[in-house]
Formats: sequence, structure tokens, C-alpha cells
Amino acid sequence: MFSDRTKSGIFSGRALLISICAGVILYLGAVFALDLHSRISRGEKGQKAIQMLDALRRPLLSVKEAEIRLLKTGDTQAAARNLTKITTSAASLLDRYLALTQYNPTLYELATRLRDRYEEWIIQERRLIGHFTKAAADGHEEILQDALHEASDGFMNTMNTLGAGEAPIHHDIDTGHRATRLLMLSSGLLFLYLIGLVFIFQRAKTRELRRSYDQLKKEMKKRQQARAAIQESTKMLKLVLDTIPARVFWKDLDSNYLGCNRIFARDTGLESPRQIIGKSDFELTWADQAKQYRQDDRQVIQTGRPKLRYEEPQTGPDGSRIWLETSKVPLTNLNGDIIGVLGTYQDITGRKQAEEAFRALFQSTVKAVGQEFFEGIAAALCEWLKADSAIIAELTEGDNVQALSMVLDGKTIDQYSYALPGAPCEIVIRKGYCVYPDRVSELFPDDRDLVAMRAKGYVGIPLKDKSGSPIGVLCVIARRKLDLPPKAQDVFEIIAAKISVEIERKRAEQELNLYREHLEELVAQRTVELEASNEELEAFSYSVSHDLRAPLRSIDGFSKAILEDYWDDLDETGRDYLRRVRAASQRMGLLIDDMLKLAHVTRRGLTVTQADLTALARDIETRLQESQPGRQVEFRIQEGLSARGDERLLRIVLENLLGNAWKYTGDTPRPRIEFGGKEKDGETVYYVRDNGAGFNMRYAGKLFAPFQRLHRSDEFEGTGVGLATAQRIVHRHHGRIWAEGEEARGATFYFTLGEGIASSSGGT
Amino acid sequence: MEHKTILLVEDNPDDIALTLRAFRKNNIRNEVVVAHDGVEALDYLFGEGSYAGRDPGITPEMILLDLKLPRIDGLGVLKRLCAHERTRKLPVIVLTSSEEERDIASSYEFGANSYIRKPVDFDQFTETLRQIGSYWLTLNIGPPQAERA
Repeated sequence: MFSDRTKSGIFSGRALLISICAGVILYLGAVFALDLHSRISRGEKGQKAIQMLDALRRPLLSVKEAEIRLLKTGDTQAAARNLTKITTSAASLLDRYLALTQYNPTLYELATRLRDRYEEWIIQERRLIGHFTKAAADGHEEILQDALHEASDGFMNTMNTLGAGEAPIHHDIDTGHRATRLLMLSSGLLFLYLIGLVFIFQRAKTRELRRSYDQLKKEMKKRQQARAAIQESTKMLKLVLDTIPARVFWKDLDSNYLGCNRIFARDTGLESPRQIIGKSDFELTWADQAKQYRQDDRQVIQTGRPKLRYEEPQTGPDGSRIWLETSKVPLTNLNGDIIGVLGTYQDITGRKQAEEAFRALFQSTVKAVGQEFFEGIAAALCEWLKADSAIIAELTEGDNVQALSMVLDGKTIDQYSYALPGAPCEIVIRKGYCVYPDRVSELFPDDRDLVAMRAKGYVGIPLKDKSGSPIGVLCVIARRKLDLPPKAQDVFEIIAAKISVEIERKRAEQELNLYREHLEELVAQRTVELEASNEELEAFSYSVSHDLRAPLRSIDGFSKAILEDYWDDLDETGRDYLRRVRAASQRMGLLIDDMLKLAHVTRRGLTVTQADLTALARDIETRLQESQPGRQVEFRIQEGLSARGDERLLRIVLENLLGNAWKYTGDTPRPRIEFGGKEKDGETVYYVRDNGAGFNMRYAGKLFAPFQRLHRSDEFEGTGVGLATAQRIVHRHHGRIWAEGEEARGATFYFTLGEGIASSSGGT
Repeated sequence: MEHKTILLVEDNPDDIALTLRAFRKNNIRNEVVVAHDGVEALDYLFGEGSYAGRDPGITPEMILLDLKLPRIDGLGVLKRLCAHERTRKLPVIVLTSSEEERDIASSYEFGANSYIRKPVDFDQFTETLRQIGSYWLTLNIGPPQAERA
């Protein structure tokens, strides 16, 4: 509709004004162009001039009449008087005529001439009068006659002159008339134009009006429809708001209510949601909580952030306190400005009560286990439901139930059991959670205990194990009608689950105890077995040391005996063979000794002292030198080396390492053996270095394995157990041992000893 | 010197032969009584069993005792000797293959005077016996015979 109005702009007020102005300008232009106004004024002046001319004609004729009268009467005196009188008025008329003719120069000239003629004529008249007097007296008739002629001529001239002025005046008058007519015509045209213009505009306006009217009508219809739709949706919205199972309300920036739904209004005790409008929380039943509510409103309004799902109390119209789960969100208009707060809440009192009951129920029992737990639960259940008895019972064989805990009238009853058939617990175990709120004794007349205690209310739930098969029952019995709080079943199920778990735990514990006892037996048995096998092992090593050596000794001994006693009977080959037998048996003896040493090292306890390694090395050096006095070996033993450890075992290490060095420098021209220690990364690394045969680093990994040798026996004798023994000792000292070497260039053995070695009685 | 008896308690006939040979080689001419097990040794020392009637007052100059013996082992023998006033002070040299610390400790505990491990090498064995003989039979002055009674 806005575009329609813009289209009809050609007929706007401004256009009309422009059209009018154009017409008027055109009209004025024409008037000025045709000089109409001056022509009209000329005509008007001509009109006045002609009237004046007509008025002038009378005194002039009066002069003539006076002359004629003179001629008749001859009264010169009167004539002179008359003439004076007439000329006075004529002169004034003539002056006025002159003034009137000033607009037209031609006319003015004629008028001037007229005055001149007139004045001449008047002079002639005066002369005539004079002459007449004289003539009367003297009789000069001739002169009189001449004067008379002269006067007549003067009169004629004057009148002619006067007449001559009429023509231009009439011309002016005609021109004026024509101009007036033209003016009238153009005025008429202008008028018609204006009328037409107004008419056209009027019609256009009318059309436009009609159009806008139609549009308006259409729009109104649309609006009506829209309003109807809005009303419909408002109604729907209201219906939704009133039906929704939550309280909905909205407030302005000052926390005054703007509206609410029906269910909210009911909470306030008001009859209709409309009554809430304009009220603040302080005027409602929850005035006590109003301060907190408004604080929350302010928070939501100021931060623009919703505050969701928080719990708060509310005082109802009857003074009771309920619990709410409230959410508040900022309320914004279409521009996004916050104009208030929209809130909604649910009554969670039931849930809250269940929670509190739940909490109360568990608080006293949560830490307890076993019997304490069962009794705590039973007592708490009675408390919670205001019941008289609670039983937690386990199914036993033969349809019987054995109470794990039973509370009756606040007292714990020990060793209570009952038969399942005919009891409500039977139904519970068969069907699950059961509630008989009022008439349980009537329904189960065979349950004597139930009847005896005059029970009315009963709640029971089966206890099930992990696989879901029933293992017991939990029931609560009251002598009055049982009024269960909401969600009681949930609480029961949770408690039942917890009890079931506890029963299972208890059973598991019992089983575990059984196992534990069994385990202890088992351990004892194993220990005995182990000890036995240890004994066997020791017996074995004993017999190895004892029994294996004996035959060797025999072999060696009798070989020696043969060599001594039958020397002459043997040839050199026989003797050589016997020597080989002796060498082999001696070597085997060494092997057995080393093996036993190795076993000893592993099994022996540690006796830790501060061991003087330098002294040990020196002692070993002396022994080695003594063993082969012929050899010249340079020993370089560092002073002041000492370490914590088992001195006897450390001696074995050094014996092995120095002994090896001694052995493998056997073929070296200038043998040298070093023993020292140096600090590296916070620990002392000891080393035994020689310049002997060395070894190939490729076989370094084999060095410490028992019975592994890198040299042939005929090169260097040995059993291959020494380094293994050294390694075991070093390991037992929490240290490391490794070697570096090069064939024919010598070897270096490094070892470390761990910190904090303590004495021990033995081990493997 | 000839009257000084050596009691050799040894079950292994090879060892007996070798020991006797070693004595011979070392010119130890003492009488060597061989007991093949602990029982026999004790019988000899206490004049019982097969040695019933022997005067237990006559005691050997030294006893070479093996530990691993049939019936009553060496430690058993030592225990018995230790328990009797008469035999407590007899010089007993344990001559065995065992190097078990336990055996060594027990032997000394029950009154052994020395503990020697039999070397496998017969040369060393001979040398060992030579030294034993020269020490215990020549250098050492044993307890008075009277006390032994």
C-alpha cells in the first residue's frame, strides 16, 4: 500500500500548487505582455477626459448664449458679468481637462491648443462686449460686425479644437474597452483552468482514496485474520502452559510477576494466573524465600545467563515446605534486550524425600559390614517407615528362612527362622516386590507370627544374587496401615541390592576364609616339600662333593700307584696314557670343586664388613707369586681400596680375576697386572687389567657363563666357572661386572659393588 | 713308635688302599686298624661287638675319620666319643671329601681336632698324609695314657 501512495504522487498537493502557479504566471505574463493594464487605465482616463470635455462644452455654449443674449438685449454689463462668471468655471474645467489629458501627449497638445483658442475667443468676446458698448454709444456698427465675426470665428475655432480632441479620446476609450474585454476573457480562461485543475485533482484524489480504502479494507481483513490466528495461538499457548506438568512464570526486571501458568497459580493459592500480574514474591506464600528468589532473578538478569536445574525450598499456601528443581532463563524481547526472567520448576519433594530417606537409611549403615550392616539396615527401615518390624532373611534348605537380622519393636531378635509356605515372603520370592498396605494378616492367616503380632501393613522384596536367583527376603511389617513414601520401591530395590551384595560378600568372605585356611595348609605343605627338596639338593651337592671325588681320587691314586709300582713294565705310551688319566681326573676334581664353590656362593649368607680390597689383592698376589716362583709379573695394586661387602666372597672375586690375569699373562714377555678403582657417575668402578692374551670382544657375552671358555685347555687351564662365580658374587653385592679385551693385547675386568649391602643369612 | 695305633675309619676300600699306600710311601709304620663303618669304629674303641674283649683302655694315637659312613656316620661317631670321658680327648682328624661348612662346623663342635679335605690328586693326598703323620704322630704330644683310662 505504500507503493500505491507513491505512484499517485502526480496528484499530490505539490503538483496542484505547481499547476496553479503555472496558470497564474501564464495569465500574468499574458496581461503584462499585452500591456492590458495600461491600456485599461488609458481607457479609463479617456472616459474621464470625454466627460470633462462634455462638461466643458456647456460653459462654452453658455458664452455663446450670453453673446446672443447680449445681442438681443444689449445689456453689456450683464454680459460682462456673465462672461466673467462663465470664464471662471470654464477656466477651472479647462485646467482640469488639461490635467486629465496629460497621459496622452497628442491629446494634451490638442488640449493646450484648445486653451489657447478658448483664451483667444474669450478675449474676442470681451472685445465684442467692449465694442458693443462703444457701438451703442458711437454707432460703429462695422467695428461691431467685425468683432462679432471675430467672436464667431473664435467660437468656431474653439469648438472645432474641442471636437478634434474627441477622436483620440474615443480611440483611447475603445482601446481601454478592448483591453478590458481581453482581461476579462483571460481571467475567465484562468478561472476555467483553475476550476478544471481542481476538478481533475479532486477526481484523482477520490480515486486514490478509494484505492487506499480498498487496501485498508483488505489489510483490516488480514489483520483480523492475523489477530484471530494470534488469538488462536495465544489460546493454544495458554493451554500448553496450563497443561504442561511444570510451573512456568515470568517476571519483569524488578522481579514483579508478568504472568504464570495455572499450575503455578495453584501453588501460590491464587485462583487465576491473572491475579499474579504485578505481584512480587514478597506478597506470595513464599515470602520467606522471596529474598533468595529475587537474588537468583537478579543474577540471571544481570549476567544474561540461565541458572538451570537447582534445588530450592518453597512454602506453599498451607504453610508446608516443598522442594523445587528450578530453572531460570533471561527473558528477551525481539531486539534481544533482557526484559525480565522466565522461570520454571518442578515439585521434586517426593524425590527429595526419597533421597533424604535414602540418605538417612544409609548414613548409619554405609560404613558397617556384616551383622552390623544388616542390623543397621533393619533398624533404619523401621525408623523410616514407622514400622514395627523389619526382617532380613536368608533362604535355607527346605523352604525355610533364617533371619540374618530381625528388629521387632526396636529390639534385635536373634536366631529367628520361619517356614516360607503360607507367608507373604513366599509371594515376594516368587513374584518380586510386594506391598500389602492394610490387611496382610487377613490375607495370610496361616502365617502365625504375622497374625500373632496383628500385622496390617507389609512390604517385601526378594534378595537376589548376581545371577538373579533369590537368596533371601527383606520385609517390613507394621501394625498399622503402611503409607509408603513415593519411590519407596526404588529405595527398597537399592537396599535389597546392597543387602544381597553384602550377603554375597559375607558368603565370599566365609569361602575366602575357608580358602585361606586351606591356603595356609597348602603353603605349609609346600614349604615342607620345598624344604625337603632343598635338603635333597644339599644332599646331592654333599654327595657330589663327597662321592664323586672319591672315585676320582681312586683313579688318580691307582694310576699313580701303577706308574710307581709298574714303571718298568710299562712302555712310554702306557705311562703317557696313565699320566693323561691322572690329568683328566685331577681336572675333573677341579671342576667339581669349582661347581661346588659356585653353588656355595649362591647359597651362602652375606657377612658384610668394610673389606680391605687392597690387602686382599696383595695377599692373592703373594700366593700367586708363591705358586709359580719362577715367573716375574709386575703387580700394580692401588692403595687404600676398600668396600662394604662379604670379605670372603670378595676374595673369591679377586682370586678369580687376578688368577685369570696371572694365568693369561703366562706367555706375555713383560707381564703386568693392575688392580685399581676410579670414581665414575657416583660409584667406584674397580678394575683388574692385564697385558696378557686378552680375548675377542665378540665373545665377551660368553665370558661369564659357567663352563664357557675362550681358550683351549692346552693353552690355558681352567674350568670356566671362575668368572661365573665372580659374577654371582658381584650380583649378590648389587653390582655389575663386565670386561673389555683385545686378542693378544690384554683384558680389563670391571666391577662395581652396590651401596647399602646388608648382611643376610642366606638365600638363592 | 710302632706301638702307636692309627684308627682309620673309612668305608671306601680304594681310599683305604690309597691311605695305607700313602702311609707306606711316607714311611709311617704304625699299626693301622681299619674300621669300615661307624659301628665298627665304636666297637673297636669301646671294646664291644666284634671287638668284644679288647681292652678299651688301649686307645689309638690318632683317629682318621671319614664322615660319610654306613650305619653310624662320622658325626655320630664323634658324638659318641665326645659323650664319653674316656674317648673325649682322643685326637680325631676328620679326613673327608666334604667341604660342607655344616660338616666342618659340626665336626669341630663334636670335638674333632682337625678337619682335612681329601685332595683328588694322589700326590697331594700323599703329602697331606705325610704332614698329618709327622704332626700328630711325631710332633704332637697326646694326652697322658693314664687320663685316658
